[in-house]
Amino acid sequence: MTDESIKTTIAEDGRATVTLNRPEIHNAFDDALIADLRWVLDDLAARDEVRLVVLASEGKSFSAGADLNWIKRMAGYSEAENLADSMALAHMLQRLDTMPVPTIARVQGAAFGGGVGLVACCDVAVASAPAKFSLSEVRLGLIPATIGPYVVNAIGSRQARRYFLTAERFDAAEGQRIGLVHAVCAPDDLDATLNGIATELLKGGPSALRQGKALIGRVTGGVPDSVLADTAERIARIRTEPEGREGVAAFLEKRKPGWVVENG
Amino acid sequence: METPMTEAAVTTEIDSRGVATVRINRAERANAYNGAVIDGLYEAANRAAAEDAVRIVVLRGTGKHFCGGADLAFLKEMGVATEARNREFSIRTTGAIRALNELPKPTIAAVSGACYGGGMGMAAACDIAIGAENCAFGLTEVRFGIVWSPIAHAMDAAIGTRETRRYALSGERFGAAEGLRIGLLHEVVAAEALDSRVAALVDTLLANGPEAMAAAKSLVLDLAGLRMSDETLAEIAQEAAYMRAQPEAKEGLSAFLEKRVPAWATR
Repeated sequence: MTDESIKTTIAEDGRATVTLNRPEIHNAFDDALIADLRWVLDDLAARDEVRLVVLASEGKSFSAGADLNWIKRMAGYSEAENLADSMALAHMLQRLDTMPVPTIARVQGAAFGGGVGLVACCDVAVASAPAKFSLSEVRLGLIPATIGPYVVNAIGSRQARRYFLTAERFDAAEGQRIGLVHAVCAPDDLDATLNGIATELLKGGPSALRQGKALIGRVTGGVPDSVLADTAERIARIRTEPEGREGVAAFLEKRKPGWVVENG
Repeated sequence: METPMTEAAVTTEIDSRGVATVRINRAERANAYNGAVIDGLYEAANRAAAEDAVRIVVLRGTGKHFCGGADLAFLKEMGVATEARNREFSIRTTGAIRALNELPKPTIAAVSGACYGGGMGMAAACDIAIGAENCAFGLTEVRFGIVWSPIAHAMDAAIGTRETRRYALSGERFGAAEGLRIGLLHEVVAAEALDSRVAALVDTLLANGPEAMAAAKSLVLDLAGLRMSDETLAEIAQEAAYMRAQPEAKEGLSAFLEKRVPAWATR
């Protein structure tokens, strides 16, 4: 039902599994993958037989965030072109966040930048203990803008103020402490842990689960469209500013950006 | 400035990398804040925000303690001052916490020893708070019949409503581990490791785009609704000033200063 970059299966029990399948580039995403993922999620959201969606990925890393070649292309984009790309990402994240059925992220390895956003958009996140996380955008002179609302909802402003600003890497145990992931287990136990949670979810009434999730959205207010547009504008603007351009150029040229001062 | 720099209630040092270290400088009073500290903090926050050379701000106390809360003798004086003067102090206190909370650069609180009341608010208003194991916290205002209005927004954002409802009402004291659990602190380290841990975090922040950090901070403040309007600031200040002028606050502050239990305390 999709091209090879995303694999989708629907089991008889109603469990859909969406697997990012670009292990050679650590499941980094670009405009094409974002469009595909949006399409897949729209399709699953419309199917009555789907009771649960697992978001997984192939290979060592869960998702390294934005793909290098996409970043290269975007470096030459105008603000308007950047805005269109950012809005596409924002809408894909919104689609994942508002899936009508429960969603579980299966985090087997590193999740950086936008990869953290995917985790934050899922209702439940299960991580392998060695998995690493980082909101790494500021290292490139960028900001975690379109994923920002979902990450702040997951970890709260107190932790967001730290990790948005420091871009530190943290492990699954810290991810669990701050609320990004719900369960941490040994790598070999990842599927068993995920299955355990999925089994519990499948005991719930399918309609009750959908209504229960909708209720959470109503109580918490969700992420309004105006916020989507605002975050997309913020990242589009910063990409075209000198610091954002320098950060991305330094990253692509594998050198330190101009703002880095050497100690003493 | 009338006060000579050597006696300033708040000092600021800026190093060649753009790291501003702001110190509350009343070590002899456990860095309890009075009008001079509040004004100094407000000026330091605004200066750090305005000066291009400043990239990161570290807030700490001079000596053993971060900030032991309000100078209660000073508060009592405010409570019996003119209504205008009393209100003005609350406006400046609320304004100083707001300036720190919304400072458009990364801020780190290096917390050790006493961190009570408004001191907790200062730590909560920083982006990152690293605490020494010897930290002692408490929203102790209720013990003195006063309210914690100026720090309420920053505190609620830092520790969440669930914990705020407990600690703002109970005035209980608690230590570093509980401070970490409820989110006031991001990390706890041995007292002797506090400086090196803060220095390492500063190095981490120096690797990041300065404008990107400002934009990332702005993003979080806006997404979480953490900015305070002038109107809200005025309301909050009015509440704190009003309560401080009531008989209960007079009794609470007097009891503390006279080392006795207040009249409302029953056993």
